[in-house]
Amino acid sequence: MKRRRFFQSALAAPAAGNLLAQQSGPAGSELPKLEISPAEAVGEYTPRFFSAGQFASLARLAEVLMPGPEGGVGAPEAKAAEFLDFLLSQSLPERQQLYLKGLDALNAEARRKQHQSFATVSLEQANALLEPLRKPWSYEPPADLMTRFLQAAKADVRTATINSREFNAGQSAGSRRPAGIGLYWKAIE
Amino acid sequence: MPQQEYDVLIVGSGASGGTAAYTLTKRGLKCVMVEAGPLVDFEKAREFKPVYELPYRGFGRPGRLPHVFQANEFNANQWVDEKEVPYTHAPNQPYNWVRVRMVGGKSNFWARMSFRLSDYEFKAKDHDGYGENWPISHADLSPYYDRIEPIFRVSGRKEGLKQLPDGIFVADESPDTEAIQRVARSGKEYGMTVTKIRRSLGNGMLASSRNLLLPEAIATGNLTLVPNCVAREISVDRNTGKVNGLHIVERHSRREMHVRAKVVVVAASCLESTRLMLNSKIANSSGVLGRYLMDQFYIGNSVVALVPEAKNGKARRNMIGGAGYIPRFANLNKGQEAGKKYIRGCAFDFSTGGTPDAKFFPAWGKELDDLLVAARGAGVSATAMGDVLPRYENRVQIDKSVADTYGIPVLNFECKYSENELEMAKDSVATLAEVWRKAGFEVIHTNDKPLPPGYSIHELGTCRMGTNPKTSVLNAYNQSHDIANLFVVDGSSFVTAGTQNPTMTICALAMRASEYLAEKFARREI
Ligand SMILES: Cc1cc2nc3c(=O)[nH]c(=O)nc-3n(C[C@H](O)[C@H](O)[C@H](O)COP(=O)(O)OP(=O)(O)OC[C@H]3O[C@@H](n4cnc5c(N)ncnc54)[C@H](O)[C@@H]3O)c2cc1C
Repeated sequence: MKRRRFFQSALAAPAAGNLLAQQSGPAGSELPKLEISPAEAVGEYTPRFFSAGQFASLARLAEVLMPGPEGGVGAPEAKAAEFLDFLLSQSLPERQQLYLKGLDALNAEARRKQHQSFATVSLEQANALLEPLRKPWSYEPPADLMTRFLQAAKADVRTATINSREFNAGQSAGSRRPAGIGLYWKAIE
Repeated sequence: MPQQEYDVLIVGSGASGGTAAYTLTKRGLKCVMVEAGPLVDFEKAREFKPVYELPYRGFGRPGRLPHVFQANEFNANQWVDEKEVPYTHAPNQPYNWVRVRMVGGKSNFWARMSFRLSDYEFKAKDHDGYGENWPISHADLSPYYDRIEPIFRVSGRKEGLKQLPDGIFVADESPDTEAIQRVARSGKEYGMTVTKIRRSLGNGMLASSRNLLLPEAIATGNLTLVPNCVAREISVDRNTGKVNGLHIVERHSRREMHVRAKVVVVAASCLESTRLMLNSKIANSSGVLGRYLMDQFYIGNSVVALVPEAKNGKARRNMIGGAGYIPRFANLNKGQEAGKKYIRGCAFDFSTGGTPDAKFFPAWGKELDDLLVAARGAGVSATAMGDVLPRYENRVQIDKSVADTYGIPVLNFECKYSENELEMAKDSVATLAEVWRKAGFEVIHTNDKPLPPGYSIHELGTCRMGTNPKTSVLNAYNQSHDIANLFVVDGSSFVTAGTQNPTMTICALAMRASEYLAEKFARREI
């Protein structure tokens, strides 16, 4: 190899030896497009954070807080409880405790008043148990655990439902514009 | 190659640094601008995404930005990572320090509300006896506001108000809807005026240092912009006592370098500027560097109401919609008017025609859905913005036990609101609720508890200006009392906070200081 050509190619190649075996490949735009699927479309979420009893109660609570309109998407269809199990598994301890203690308190109340777990109460019975939600919302969290928990759950279930793939598919079906789109900032190098 | 010595080194490329560069380069000074963050290509940095494709359905990764209440899963990457550049405070005294590190700084993201301060702020001590006056008045700054406003293209409606001076506006002639007129009518007896929100239009999409100031500065051929360099310490010539440059850390490689300059202009944003000077151990013969930390206290959704006539989809054209601004209305005639348990005052901005959040309705399930449908487009909601007093006790200092990822010691905050702010919040929110009830609105929620200090992202003070070198850090031209070739041109120089969003004032001060600097430089007086 001529000396000049050697230097040119040496400059163009990365110095690290183990990278030399790597093919450089075409630019992204030249690659064939492949159909892909999100994990939720092929798998069922396995609850990990709440106990089975707590999870069943959370699922019932989500359904009562945000039922789907006739044929539409509510918390059950949006798998809001499953999502919250995942979110809570990564949340700060204070938030985790609010949910764990709140669900236990709700179950205890259901047992005391309705002699069953919250998971199995009727809508009428559930509504009676959710009466603390009649208290007006205040910026400073209420002192009593049950109201604090129910207010948090009401907001979280709503967001988890409205921001779900299922809910947005329902919203977009009737209109030409896709729902729930936002401008996302990628990580800054 | 011998290292070049620049005329002026500017730290930070936000609204304040951008204005300094814009002004100084046009006067022919050779400037170098050192910016901690990258030059972000907005096209590449952002993309539209459906919320359900985000891993946390919009909630964001729990605990990632605990102090940035404005953060969500879409914008989380735009803020300074609290682990990369941390700060400390006592657990029971939180401070929300919200930061952006990229070329253009926070002006890439601000809400663009653009107001002037008035002599109620510049000469606050004369009015109510508290604290200090600024060494300047509105008349001194007015010629600079007159030049900054057209650059940012501030839209507004002239009102002739003493507490909110008019500016050079792109006239906002849009009519007020009936809902806004109703607030104006019933607010009159409480001394309230309702005006348009004055807002920087910029080029329509963006009104930032990045697109309005820096390009012009670079076009002069006199600005060298250096992103990705974090200022560590301002260097001082021990023989002359003057500053002579800056030690920097290159962000990616962590290489340490020194840049030489005849003058240093610090514009790293209020608290980063103060941090840099405290870490450099300069310009603090007064002992007040870091003291008198202020902002505006904010209460989002301080009053939330429904316009009954607009409920159930019955809003006629012009009945509701649009936004309004209520400038300070308390203690205008006297420092402390009868019945007021506080001095100074609070302003509100409010929007009409939205739908209040579900949490404001004490219901769930189908009942909640029905209430939300009925309320759709009938909502009115106000944010309170209150004047925070400059108090010696509210301060930042260097926390030697913690360093950021670049090895630079971080700030510790000691800051809380006083009785004056809390009483002001209570009275102002109660007054607005009363005004709205009188206007016939159905008030569904009030809150008079301010968010934590810092939330407004209007941190001010800590390097204040003044005539007395014993009680202030800077003179009336943002020049250090101690070091003649050191200027600090951001919000740290404020003496009082006022209720008005500060950026127009920051820019006007930076322009005035830079012209003064250029004149002195030309006459070799620096
Ligand atoms: C969401 C949001 C809404 C807002 N709304 C309004 C509004 O409506 N009206 C209003 O008036 N104000 C508003 N503000 C505040 C406004 O953005 C600021 O007042 C203004 O931009 C401050 O400009 P600055 O140049 O002082 O600081 P910044 O914009 O923070 O710029 C400082 C620059 O210095 C750099 N820097 C920091 N430390 C170092 C270092 N050590 N070395 C090198 N560089 C460094 C930073 O990276 C940054 O780019 C808002 C802010 C935000 C974030």
